[in-house]
Amino acid sequence: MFASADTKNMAKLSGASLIEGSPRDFATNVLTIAVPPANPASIGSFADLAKPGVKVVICASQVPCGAAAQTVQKASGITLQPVSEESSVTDVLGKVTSGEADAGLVYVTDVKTAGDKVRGIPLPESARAVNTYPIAAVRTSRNKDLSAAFIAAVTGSEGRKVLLDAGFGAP
Amino acid sequence: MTFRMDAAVAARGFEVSLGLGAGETLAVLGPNGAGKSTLLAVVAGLLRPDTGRAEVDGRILFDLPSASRNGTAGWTAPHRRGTALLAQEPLLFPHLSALENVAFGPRSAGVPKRAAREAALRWLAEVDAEDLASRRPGELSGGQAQRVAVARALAAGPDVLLLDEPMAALDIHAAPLLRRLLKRVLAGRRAIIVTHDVLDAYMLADRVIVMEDGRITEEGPTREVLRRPRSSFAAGLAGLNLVTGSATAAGIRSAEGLEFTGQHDVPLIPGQAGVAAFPPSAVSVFLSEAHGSPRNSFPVTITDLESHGDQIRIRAGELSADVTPAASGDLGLVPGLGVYFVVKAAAVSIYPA
Amino acid sequence: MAAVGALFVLLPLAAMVAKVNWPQFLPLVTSEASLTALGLSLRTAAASTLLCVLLGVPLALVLARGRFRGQSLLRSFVLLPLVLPPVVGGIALLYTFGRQGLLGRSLEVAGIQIAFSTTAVVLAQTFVALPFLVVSLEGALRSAGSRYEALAATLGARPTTVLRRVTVPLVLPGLASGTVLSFARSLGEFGATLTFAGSLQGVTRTLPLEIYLQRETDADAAVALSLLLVAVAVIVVGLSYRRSAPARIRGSAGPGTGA
Repeated sequence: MFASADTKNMAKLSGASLIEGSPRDFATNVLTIAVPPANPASIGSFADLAKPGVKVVICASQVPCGAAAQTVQKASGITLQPVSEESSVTDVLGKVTSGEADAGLVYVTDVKTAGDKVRGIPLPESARAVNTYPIAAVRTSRNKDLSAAFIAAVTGSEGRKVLLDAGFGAP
Repeated sequence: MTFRMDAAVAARGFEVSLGLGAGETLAVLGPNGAGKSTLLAVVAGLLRPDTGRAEVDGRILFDLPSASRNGTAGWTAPHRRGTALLAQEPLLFPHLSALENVAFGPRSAGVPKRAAREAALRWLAEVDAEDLASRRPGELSGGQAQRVAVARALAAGPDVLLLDEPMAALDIHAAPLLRRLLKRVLAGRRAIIVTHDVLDAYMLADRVIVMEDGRITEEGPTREVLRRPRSSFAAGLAGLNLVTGSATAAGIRSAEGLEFTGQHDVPLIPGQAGVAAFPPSAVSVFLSEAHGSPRNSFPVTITDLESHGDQIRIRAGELSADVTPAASGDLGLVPGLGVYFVVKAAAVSIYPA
Repeated sequence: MAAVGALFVLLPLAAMVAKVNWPQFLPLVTSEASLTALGLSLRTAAASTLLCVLLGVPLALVLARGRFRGQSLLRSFVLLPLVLPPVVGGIALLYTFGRQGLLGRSLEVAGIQIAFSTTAVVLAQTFVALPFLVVSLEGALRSAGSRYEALAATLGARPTTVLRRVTVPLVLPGLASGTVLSFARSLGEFGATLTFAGSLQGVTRTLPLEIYLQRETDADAAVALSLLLVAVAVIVVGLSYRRSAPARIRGSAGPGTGA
């Protein structure tokens, strides 16, 4: 089976007829603003990120979290001048937890995982850039029953609860 | 005495006191590890003795009083000492041409480039190496390189020239050539030459000291020390065959009328005093006269046999030969027996005395 | 075994070359992002190589010629970046020069901000490349030995003259190869830069970081850029080895024998 953090990659597989049936969405994730616990730059909103002197780190547009950041910027009409465009969301989070950056755009799940090392600032604008996570069985699988059972568990109530606890949204 | 040094290096058990007159060359003989190189390093300032004092022509090289004596320590850095070193290997700076190597001393002393080059050329001429001026050290033979190294040391204008076994790394053809060169340039020059070759002492030095275990065990004019050796080391060295006589066109005729033909690079003036030198190891012993080869062959009577390392040294008056115990037994060599000593002309060095 | 060793290095390179999308090669490597990354890589690698020489030469001299307590310990620490994963070096640099770092706080007060700047890239590259220069030069100093220097002193050369006219020329081949290795290592630096400097086009995104990013979306671009990086490295190393080879032979003619 194959689970993806964006629909783009799933679409590639569907297009190549590599999956069984049609994929099912099992979770969503949205961006939020992560700041160091002390919030040195006093960030309270997305607009604050565009203030001069604020060091913002985001993902590069080539990766899903960066694409989402672009969408949020476009939708809100606010353009950021990031000091760094990382190739993974964990690198963005690292720059914030180490205190090098004043703020970073990461997924809400990342803020949850980071515990008290960062603080999350609500980002209503992120509703315009919801990442949907699809899952599907791979056509060439030799354990079709097992993958079907797993997909059922993930999309079922038990899986939903685990995902919600981790900060994911319902599809 | 214009050079005077007392020095002790406790860690090496080295304790030496010596002096050197103006224009005097001193040979330092001794077995390996006797402290000969330590002596040179102390004079050159490359090794700091624990205590001692040295001066040359009133200039202090070092003055290191012992802890019990009061006084402030004096120390002259190596580059201010005027004690140029000629080592066993030429150690020519590989990135400089022969000429630039020789000009190194004058340049370091602040002589302008042009004048330093001219001086270097003169010194290269002095050691018959002008034609090597533009060569790199990598393009020189061992003998050529050592000649350039001699010129480099002399060009620095040292007050005391230090030579650390300068012939040891040369092959048997290059060594005599350099020895004769050194004889010429050391004449009237204050120098200390460390050597294990008694011929160097004879040829180059006015005086000799013998060092053993970090101390001087014998000291005196070269001929005297080697004629009546008191230390066992000097006695071992004294084995070199030296025949004095008068020069002929091709060699030396001894007072007893024996003719020695040998190698020489200065033309011999017949009748002039000279010396033929050859090591006992180059002498073969025959029971009958050998014919038809360009060799020196002369009848002698064996006076003594003694063991010398793993060889037997056959003495016949002033001359000696080294043979293997087996050969000695085969020939039935005993004192009183008449035999022929034979030595190839190539192994005999002839020097005007 | 030598052939196996050579194959082990050459086969992955060949495999990569085989993967190159040749019709698209030129457009891929001449895109604005690629050229910016290449230019930044060359500039920062040159700067950090210079820094390596400035810091590494005195360090190598002290390690090769000095005799002091803690010398071997100092050598071990200087060589540490050779064996450390670069990301560890990046973290260490972060805690030194970063905003919250040991020196970073004072620097920030002085108005100097290193994080997310090109300076941070140069520092990261210098950190990982310095041991290459020190090791090469210290080796050259040791094999040249101190006998030439001692002899030069007896000829009347003061210590500065000895350094300028004897020590430095003797170790020039070692210094040259150390410099080249440092440059090559700086050029390839990735982990410490990513951790410490960040990644922004034209400021901190060097060629290796660009390759890593392109790999996410465009494998063809990543392969093409990798080949470009290999080509630059081969040219740099090849050129300088050819130039330093004759000097090396000359240099070894003298000091090879003896005690």
